[in-house]
Amino acid sequence: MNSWPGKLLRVDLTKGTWAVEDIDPELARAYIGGRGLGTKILCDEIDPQVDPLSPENKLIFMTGPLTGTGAPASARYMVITKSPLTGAIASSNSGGYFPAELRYAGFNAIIFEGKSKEPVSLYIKNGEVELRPTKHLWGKTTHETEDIIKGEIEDPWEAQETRIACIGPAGEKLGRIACIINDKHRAAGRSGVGAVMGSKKLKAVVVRGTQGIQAADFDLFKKSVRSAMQKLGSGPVTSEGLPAYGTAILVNIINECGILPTNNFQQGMFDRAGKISGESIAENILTRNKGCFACSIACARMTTIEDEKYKGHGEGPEYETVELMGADCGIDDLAPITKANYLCNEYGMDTISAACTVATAMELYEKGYIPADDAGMDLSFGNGEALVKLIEQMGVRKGLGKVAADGAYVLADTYGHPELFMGVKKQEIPAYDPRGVQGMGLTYATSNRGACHVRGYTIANEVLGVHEKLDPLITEGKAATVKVFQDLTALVDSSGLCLFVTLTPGFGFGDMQAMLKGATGFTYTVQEVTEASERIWNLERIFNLKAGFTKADDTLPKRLLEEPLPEGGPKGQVCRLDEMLPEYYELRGWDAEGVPTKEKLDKLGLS
Amino acid sequence: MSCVAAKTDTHEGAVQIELKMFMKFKRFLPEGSADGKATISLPAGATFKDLLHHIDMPVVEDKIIVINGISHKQSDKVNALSLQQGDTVAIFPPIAGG
Repeated sequence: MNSWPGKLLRVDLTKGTWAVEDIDPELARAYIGGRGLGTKILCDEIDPQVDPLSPENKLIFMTGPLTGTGAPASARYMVITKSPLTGAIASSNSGGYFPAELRYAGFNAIIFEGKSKEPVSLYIKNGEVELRPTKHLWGKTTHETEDIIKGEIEDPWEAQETRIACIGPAGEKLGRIACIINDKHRAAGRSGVGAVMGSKKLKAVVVRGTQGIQAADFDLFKKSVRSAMQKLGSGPVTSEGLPAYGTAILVNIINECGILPTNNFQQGMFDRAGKISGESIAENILTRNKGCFACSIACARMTTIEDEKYKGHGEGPEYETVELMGADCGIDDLAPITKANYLCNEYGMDTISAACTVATAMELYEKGYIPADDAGMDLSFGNGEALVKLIEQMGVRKGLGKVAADGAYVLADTYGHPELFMGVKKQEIPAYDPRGVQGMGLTYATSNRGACHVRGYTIANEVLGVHEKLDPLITEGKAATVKVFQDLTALVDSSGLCLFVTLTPGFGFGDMQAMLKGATGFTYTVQEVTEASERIWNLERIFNLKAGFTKADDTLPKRLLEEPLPEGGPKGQVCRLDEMLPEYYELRGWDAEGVPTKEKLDKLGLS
Repeated sequence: MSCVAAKTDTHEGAVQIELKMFMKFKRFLPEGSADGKATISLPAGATFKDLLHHIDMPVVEDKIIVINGISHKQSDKVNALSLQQGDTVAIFPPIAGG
C-alpha cells in the first residue's frame, strides 16, 4: 500500500539510472505535496538562473496526498520545472487517470535530471522501473504514442489500465508553449513544460499499478470526504452547470459582462458568442460527458466534428480554448475551433497559448506587420481555415509556425511589435478581459507563472458570486480577495484535488485541512494549512526573484492599462492595477519593490 | 425575433426592456420567444422584482443577473432596482468554470 509521503523516484537521464528515495516527512508537512512540495524540491536542487532547456534544469512530476484517494476530484498531479516560456517557475496541473495510477504504481513523485542522448521512455509497474529506448516513438503525436505503447502490451486488460503521459512533436521541437499530455486529452498545459521534457529526450512516462493508497486516519478521512462530497453534490455549479454544459457554459455570461476577449483583446464583446457557447457545443458536437478519476462533476466534453474539412473526434473544447480560438480570433464556427483543439492535444501544445498566438498573428497580419510571404495564408480575423493551418504549422515548426511555436511574445517581438502581445511575463492571458473585472488584472499581473486565471480565480466572486458577490469594476478590497484566492489555490494545487472543488459555496481551508489531516496523519490545523499555502506562494516568488524578475514584471500589456474597453457594461474602463498592487504587496508582507520582508520569511520558515 | 408581452403593452408610459434568458431559465420567456430573448413591456417605474413577477419567475430562485453588462447576485437591492427604457437584462442559473 502506498501512503503519504512515501517514495519518490529519481531518474538520471544522462546516466540512464534511477534511485528510490523516501520523501522527507517534515518537508511534506510544510509544503503539503503537489505544487508546494515540487516547488520546494526544485528550489533546493536547481539554480533559478539555469537555462530551462539545459540538462541542469529538472522536471518534477508530483502528486499530492489526496491524489488517487477517492476524495472528490482527487485526480490531479503537478509538473514543476523552470519554464522555457517565461523563465519563471512553472507548475502545470493535469487530471485524468495517470496521476492516480502513478501512486498505485508505488511512487508519489518522479524527478527527472540530466538529458538522454537518445529518445527514451520511463516504464513503471508496481514499483518496478525500466528506462527503455523508444526511438520509434519520436516524431509521433501524443495519440499515436499512446496507441503504439498500448499496442505493445500483450494483455488487453493491462493495456487498457496502463496510463501514459507523453509529449508530441511540439515538445520534441522545443516549442516554448508545448505541454505534456496524459490519457490522450488531459494536459499539463501551461508554461512550456513539454519543451523541458523534449529537451531531456524523454518521450513518455508509462505507469501501471495495483497498490492501494492507505489513509493515515481512515475514519477522519472518510468523514471529511463525505462532508466535502455532500457540498459538491449540492452546489449548483458542481452538480448542475458544469455537468450539463462543461466549462464553456461561461461564454455567454462573460460576453454579456463585456469581458470576452475579442480580436486579440481589441474588444470585449463578440456578437456571435452564442455560436461558440456551451449550449451550442451541447446542441451541435457533444457526444458524451467525461470525468477524471473520482470526479462527480464530469466537466469534460467528448465531441465529434462531421464537417469533412475538419472531421475528427476527441475531447474539448473547454471554455478557455473555445473562447480564445473563437472570439479572440474572431471565429464563430465550432468546427475549425474544435479541430484546432484536437490538433493541439495531438501535437502537444497548450491551447491557451496557441490560441493567443494565432490571435496575435492575426492582428500583426491585419496591421501589415507580418509580410504576406511570411504569413503564407490569409490570417484575417475570422478565418477558421487559417486557425487550423497555423496550429498545424506550429505543431511541427514549419512556415510561420517556426516562430509561432514559441508563443505570442516571440512572434510579436520578432515582427517588431511586442506591444501586441497580450500576456504577462511572456505567458499569454486567458479568456477574461481584466479591464472589466479589476481583480483578475491583479491576479494576472502577480501570478508566479505568468498570466494565469487559475492562480486566483476571482471571477468566481467578481462576476459569478459563488462565495460572495463583489463589484467587478471597483479596485477597493481586491488585493485581499486576490491574496485569499491565490493562497487557497496553492493549497488545492498541492493537495491533488481539482481546483473546481473551490467553486462549491462554503468549501474552503477547513475542508482542505480535514481531508489532509485524515490522509496524511499530520496534525494539521486550519492555521497551519493556511500558512503552508502562503509559504508556497512566497517560495515561488523567491524563485522568480532569484531568476531575475522584479516589480517591473508585475504588470499588464499597455492595451489593458491604457486603452478603454469600447463597449458593453465596462465601456470606458481600463485595468487600474496601480490602485491595487501596493496594497497587495503590503498584505503579502512584501516591501514596496515586491520583495518578501525578512519578518515575513522568518514567519513562514523561509529564511 | 422578439415577443412583446401583450398584457403590459397597454400601460401608459410603459418601458421596454430586452430580456435574455439562458439555459434552464429559457422556460420563463413569453411563449413564441426565439433565440432566448424577448422584448418585455413594463409599467414606468417597474423594478427588477416586478419583471420577475411579470414572467412568473420565483424571486428566490438562485440566479446571476446581468443588467446592462454589469453582473449582480440576487439581493433585495437588485430586486428594488428600477428598470429604464432600453435596459438589457440577462439572467443565468448559477454557473462557474473556466
